Amino acid sequence: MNNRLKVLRAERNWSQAELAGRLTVSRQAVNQIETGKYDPSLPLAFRIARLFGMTIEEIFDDGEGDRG
Amino acid sequence: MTGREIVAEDWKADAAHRTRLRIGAWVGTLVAATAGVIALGLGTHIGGGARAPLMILGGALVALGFVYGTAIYMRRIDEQERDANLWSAYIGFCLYIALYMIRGLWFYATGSVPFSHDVIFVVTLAVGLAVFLWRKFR
Repeated sequence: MNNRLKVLRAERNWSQAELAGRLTVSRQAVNQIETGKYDPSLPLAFRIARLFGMTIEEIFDDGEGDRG
Repeated sequence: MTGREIVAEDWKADAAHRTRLRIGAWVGTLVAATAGVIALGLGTHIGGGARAPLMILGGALVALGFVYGTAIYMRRIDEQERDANLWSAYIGFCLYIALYMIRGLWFYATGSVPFSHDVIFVVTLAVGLAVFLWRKFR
């Protein structure tokens, strides 16, 4: 799944380890989410969204597009 | 310290605390398992009345170490590592069953076995570990 996690992290000058600490996950988890190799669970996606003060849809994109 | 600084420091303290808990749990597990192995070793070399109690104590400590370590491990790891463990366990289990079936069918067909139970055990462990490492660190 595409996401803006790396960009959002860079805007705040956070390392992957720092973001991982704030999300209570491992650095490997952050790396794999950023590279699209792992999709976060819903609770983790909500934690990510709250951390950046954004909605899940503003951070993650499943590529399905606008179905409206 | 401002409110933002306090919040910023909280997650660092929390992460450090969780790391200390995890390390402490692993140290406790290793100590228990090591004590158990030593007791088992002593029990196998000591005769008389001390043998059975030492073997029982050693086995109990090793089992406690494994169970405690597993419980702590499953509580402390994150969802990404849990995913890696799930794939590792599933593929390892499927491989284990497949190798046993192959061994059995080969025996019925030829009267001999192509490989021993030890080979099945080692191959399953190796493949399971490889899958875990791949999913965890890719």
